Amino acid sequence: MLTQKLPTQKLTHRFMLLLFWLLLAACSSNKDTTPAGKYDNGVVIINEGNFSDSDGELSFWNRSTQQATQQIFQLENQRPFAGIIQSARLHNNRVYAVANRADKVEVLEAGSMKSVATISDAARLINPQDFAAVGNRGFVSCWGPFSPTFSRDNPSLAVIDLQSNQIVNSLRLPAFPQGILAVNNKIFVALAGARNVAVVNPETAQIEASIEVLQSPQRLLLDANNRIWAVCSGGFARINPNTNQVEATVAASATVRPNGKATMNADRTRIYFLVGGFNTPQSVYELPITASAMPTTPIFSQNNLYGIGCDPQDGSIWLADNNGFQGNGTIIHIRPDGTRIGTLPAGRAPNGFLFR
Amino acid sequence: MQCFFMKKVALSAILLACTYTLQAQQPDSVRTLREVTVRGIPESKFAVGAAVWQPDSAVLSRLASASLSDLLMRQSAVYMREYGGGMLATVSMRGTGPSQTALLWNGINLNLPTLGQIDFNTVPMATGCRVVVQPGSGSSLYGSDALGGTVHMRTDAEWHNGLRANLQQEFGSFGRYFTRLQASGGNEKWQVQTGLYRLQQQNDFPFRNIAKAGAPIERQQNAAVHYWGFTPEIYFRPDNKRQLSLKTWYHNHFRQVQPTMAAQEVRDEQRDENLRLVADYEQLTGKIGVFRAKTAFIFDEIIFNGSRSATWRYLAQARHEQSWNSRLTTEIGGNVQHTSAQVRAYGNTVTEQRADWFVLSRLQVRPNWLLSATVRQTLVPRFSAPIAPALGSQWQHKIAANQMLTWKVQASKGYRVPTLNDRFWQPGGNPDIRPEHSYNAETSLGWEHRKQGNFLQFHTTLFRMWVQDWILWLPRGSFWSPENAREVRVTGVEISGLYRRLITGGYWELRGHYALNQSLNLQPLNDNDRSVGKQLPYTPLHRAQASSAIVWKGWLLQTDANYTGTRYPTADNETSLKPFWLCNLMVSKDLQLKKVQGQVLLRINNLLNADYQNFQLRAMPGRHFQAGISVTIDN
Repeated sequence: MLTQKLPTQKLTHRFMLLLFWLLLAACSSNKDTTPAGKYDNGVVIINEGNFSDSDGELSFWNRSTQQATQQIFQLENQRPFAGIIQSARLHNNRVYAVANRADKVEVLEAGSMKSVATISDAARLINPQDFAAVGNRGFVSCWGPFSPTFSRDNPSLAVIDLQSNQIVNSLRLPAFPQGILAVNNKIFVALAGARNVAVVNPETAQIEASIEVLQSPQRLLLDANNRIWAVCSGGFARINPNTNQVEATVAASATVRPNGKATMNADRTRIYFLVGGFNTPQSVYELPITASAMPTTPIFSQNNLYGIGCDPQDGSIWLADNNGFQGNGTIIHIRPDGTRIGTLPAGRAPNGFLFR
Repeated sequence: MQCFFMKKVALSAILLACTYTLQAQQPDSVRTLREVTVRGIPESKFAVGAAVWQPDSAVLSRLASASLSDLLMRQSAVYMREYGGGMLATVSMRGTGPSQTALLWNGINLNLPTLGQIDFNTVPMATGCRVVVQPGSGSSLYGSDALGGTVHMRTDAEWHNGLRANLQQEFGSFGRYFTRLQASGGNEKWQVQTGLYRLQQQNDFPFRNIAKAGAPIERQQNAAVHYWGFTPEIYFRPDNKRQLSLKTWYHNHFRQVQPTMAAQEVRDEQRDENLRLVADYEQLTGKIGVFRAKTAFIFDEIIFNGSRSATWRYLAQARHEQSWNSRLTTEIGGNVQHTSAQVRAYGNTVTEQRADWFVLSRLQVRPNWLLSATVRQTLVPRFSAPIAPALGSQWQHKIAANQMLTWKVQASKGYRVPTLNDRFWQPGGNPDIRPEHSYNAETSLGWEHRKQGNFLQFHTTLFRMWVQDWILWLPRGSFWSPENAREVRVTGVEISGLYRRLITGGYWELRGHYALNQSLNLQPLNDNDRSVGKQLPYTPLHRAQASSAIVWKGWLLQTDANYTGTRYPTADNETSLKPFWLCNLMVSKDLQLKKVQGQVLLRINNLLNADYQNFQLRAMPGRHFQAGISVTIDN
């Protein structure tokens, strides 16, 4: 699986080439000797934690036993996660858990959830939000330091060498970012503070293009046709990653404005997304990738929905209920038609999932 | 020297006597103001049936550099939620939250109108206030916020002729320096007293960072504290029937906000500034009454990372107490308060008018049986006015010549008016929020035994309280909004004991306190909420304290140990923080050099070097030292 992620671009340095082969060898041998891990068959639940307590954690639902285990980071590493987990992404059999309030990326062996490294950098990794990788280069979108009025004036994209787990570069972004995605060996960054998606060349760590989408893009999803969907407050924009052009948009309606939490369904032909409002329950809507207008009726509604995921194995939808941050959260498991399958307990403020 | 300590003993005994025994009325012909106004809280004579706690005066005088939070954690069974060493510390009494205890300074509620609570670490004992804690519902006497309890801080004139001055200097671990100057002087009619204090603390204590791999020992970052203040007071009594006083308390408090262990890079800071002025007038009226009037101005400002919120409060109160005969005493009164607030999130300046009225009565049914009935109501425009009545009974029985049994019963209602933030914060403020209210029932049994100056006392209180319309801020879409979301039932036990033995040249004292507060949430927030029937967050079921003090020939040796039980960071109790024990030691020696009295002092705090977290992931200092010297000149 590593070969498909190898960078296709020319490697000018012989030394670099040598290094790559060494790394490839190291990874392969690792993979051969590692048996299926404790956490390889199930769903990792990302519990963000409470902002003032920095008590983010991970939970795990085991497919074979159908049981949930809480606080698996503490369990496997004998220390609290200690951070607000914004996202966790899987890359090359490692989980990259991105946290602020401790500004860090915890690198975990995906099968064992043992921490391999903690990446932090007081100058270049401030309020990190999301992670994506191309080969051995990881990228983390960062809000940067807050100004006294909580504006985010110095956002950046941190570049990590995934072998040394060191930050090797940092790129200033024109507006504060949210979700990022690696497609076609390029890094796409949703600039939530603007109306654009930036396209970054992973080799040069330079912005190659800036694609205007809709108001405040939050998250980027890849569909079955290898098109990127920018989930924006202003609606959806479909980007062709080969041409960096917006091919279609579906504008938000007065009542249906995506809040940024969204997922593709199992065959990547539909988007499930959350809409939240004041004193009203949050709702789940679905948008087929062929649609030209916003849906009008939700498939599910409830208070305090804070995250959404779709299990690619059975197509069921996982919803995270944060319980108003008053206690630990709950996962609500539903079918695509909105009927309920069941619930299971989660940690504090669950906000997303990793399906394994 | 011995005389000095005997005076302390006598003073403690008098205070205890005031608290625990019933006193017959003075004959009218010789009434003076000083005899009518008990050194204490004017309302407390109507707090029949309520439990009262106050610290040992000898220990209190040696904890001048501590905060009110330190004092309560060390010396009582009250729990403080402390967000790090010397950081935000909010009180939890009888299983309630920080907004449900009223902190009164000379009768004025100091809870901030914006937040509805006050940080007990910004209340230094350096002001020289006396502290009295009254657990349980006190709204019928003290108004809003007094659901879980009331903490009183009071200053009174120490009438004396001539000049008296005291200078105190302390040095401590982690860059701690404390200085206090107190001076007072006066004659028969005038008394002027003032205090000036200053504390700075680098607070860079080492701790084991359990949030990092390998739990390395690190030094705490960004936790420095620096405060100063002064407390000038003037008292005037033209005759035995009138007294006028003006008390001032200015406090300026800067701190870096200690981050969690995980986020040592966070650099938040906060400056608090408070100016409190109160003028009191007291006058005997005729042969049967006392008239009291009070006017106060309170300014509170918080600047957090450059963002300012400020409030100005003006208050006026008048009350008249009347003793109809040797058995019945009544008091009527009322106050008005005007508050204005400038908070960025409110938009414009917000103002609020409030008025309170109250009627208090107490009846000595028999020489050993006392009843009280009190009621108070707060009127706030746009609110259904909460009203709080209370009934109390206190009965005493002499078992033997030197043994006394006391039985108290009280039933009361308490309330809390929503804060300005609850009503005006934009976005989210809820103008339709209702006041919280509580029903409280308690009974206590006390036994005391005196023999040749030795003293043994036990008190047990059982209580149950129901709090309704408890206000919680809950996320509603993209912002948070307060709601009357919670209903709580608290069941508890409080046990305290005191043993004092006179020894040649001094005394030995043992104290113990225990509090059980089962504070259960009764109301689910939604279908998936797992908090029903669970203990409230950061509300330990058990708190216990024990201390021993030996006062002997100018020496004082005091040790205390306190235990805080398991706390749950979340309402569903699914994770917990370990219980912890803390021990402290204090030694002091008085010295006399002609007219100069001196004192040297050493404290060892966290004697056993406990590694603990009071609040999740907030580091706390291990063993540390404080040494001081104090010089008093009395002319």
